[in-house]
Amino acid sequence: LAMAGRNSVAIAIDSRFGLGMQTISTTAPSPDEDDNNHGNPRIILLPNSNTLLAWTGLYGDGLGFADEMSVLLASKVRRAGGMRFDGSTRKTMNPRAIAMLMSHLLYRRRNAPYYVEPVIVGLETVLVKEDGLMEMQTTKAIAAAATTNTNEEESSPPSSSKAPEATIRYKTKTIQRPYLCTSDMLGAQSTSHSFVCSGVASRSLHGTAEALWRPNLEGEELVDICGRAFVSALERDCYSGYGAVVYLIQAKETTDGGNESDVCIVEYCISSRND
Amino acid sequence: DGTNLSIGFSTDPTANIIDGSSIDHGITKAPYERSFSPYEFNGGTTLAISGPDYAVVAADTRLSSGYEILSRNVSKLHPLTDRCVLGSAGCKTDVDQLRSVLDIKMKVYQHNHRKPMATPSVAQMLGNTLYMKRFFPYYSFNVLAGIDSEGKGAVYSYDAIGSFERTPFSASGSGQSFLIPLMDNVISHKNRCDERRDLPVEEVVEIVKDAFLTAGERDIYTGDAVEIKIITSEGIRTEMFNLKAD
Repeated sequence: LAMAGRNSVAIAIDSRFGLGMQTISTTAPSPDEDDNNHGNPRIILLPNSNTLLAWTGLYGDGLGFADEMSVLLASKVRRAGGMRFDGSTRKTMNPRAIAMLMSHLLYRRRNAPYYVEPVIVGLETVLVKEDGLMEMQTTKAIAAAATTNTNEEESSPPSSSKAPEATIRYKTKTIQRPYLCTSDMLGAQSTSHSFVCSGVASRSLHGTAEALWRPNLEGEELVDICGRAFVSALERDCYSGYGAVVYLIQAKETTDGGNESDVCIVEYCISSRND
Repeated sequence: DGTNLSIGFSTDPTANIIDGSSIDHGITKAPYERSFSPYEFNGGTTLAISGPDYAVVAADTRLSSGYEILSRNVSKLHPLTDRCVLGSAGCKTDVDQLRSVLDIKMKVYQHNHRKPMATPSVAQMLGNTLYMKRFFPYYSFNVLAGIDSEGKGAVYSYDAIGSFERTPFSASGSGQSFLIPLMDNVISHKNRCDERRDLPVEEVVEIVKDAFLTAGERDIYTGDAVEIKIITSEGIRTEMFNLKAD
């Protein structure tokens, strides 16, 4: 279950790994690669510092899908010149782009699909103007809008008789906008501004999350609501549970509009009944 | 899925051979089974919550068949006595027949004992009535809500063949999986660290409205309006609440 807050996202993942009625492992999953996920086969991918990718479904297909994603992501980062360790700023891949890649990989196997239903959560870095929440448009449009002194961005014509080289300076800031996306096994995306969920208990999750979510949740409050909705739904389903982990991807406010805000991922272990 | 009778129309030209019609009689092509199902699911959700001196029962008012809406204003709640209401979702015709049968039994009891039936007795009778049709069940998912002889709220949950239990709350129908975990958290106070407190009836009615808003959002068979009946020792009070009609 993934939920969006004001400038943070939380994803809750349960710990049960089983085969129908048989439970095989209940140790909590984690995106740490060295630990080999503490022995739990529930893999969570950490493509970059502001995106998490998790899924439900068939373990074998999950492994194959994870490998394909990791290889492709690494090659894209390398191609974008991202593997620089000299301290220069690295461009992080937008979660929307990672979701597109995921959809492509899943649909590539249209005739023999990966039996996984992934969920992608992340924060996308968006450049906005200081005064409002309008996105940066083309330089021409901004120049036209500024020179005609109008506040309505939508109605400003993109072409104007003014010289396109007019340099207009705006006070901009970067915000971290939450991005939630889930997909079916063939790559059809479903995004939302509130929450997305996937798994055997998805009906129950839809019910609790729909009722408990409200806009502009922050930090630990978001973790509380997400965890509460998650655990309540899982206790009514025998194929899920045995503990839950919530990852909060939070944007740290920077003092000045830098190129990228700091993003941190915090792990919360939720206690729940072991059955 | 709404089509109870299925006849195969074959595009194969050899189907013409039998009697000139284009109906495939199962001889030229692979044999198939014509199926008639006596059951149909007409949708809907019911929810009942009990309190220290009240019981609240609510049900949406939509009647559907497959992807079509047949009516936006059909009641799923049926008062059996002044202190007891039966809410049923499932197949409307079975629900109607079950209500008729129960009404007759209630009348007979009233004539024989010169008093209306108490709620726990109604609960037992409903369980027995359902089990009498064990091998061709009523396709009816019931909740029973009322005030018992001590004045406390009572809610009973049933399955289709009469297994029943007194519970703090009960939800049944197409939206039950959306509502039950929410009720676990809010009514039974499970998985919460804050202190439990008794909920007054007005707050429970607000919770019921929120719950149906949730179910109406995510379940296609639930919507249009919610009929809420509040049962106290004074009697039954009815409230209507509109939902989205999509």
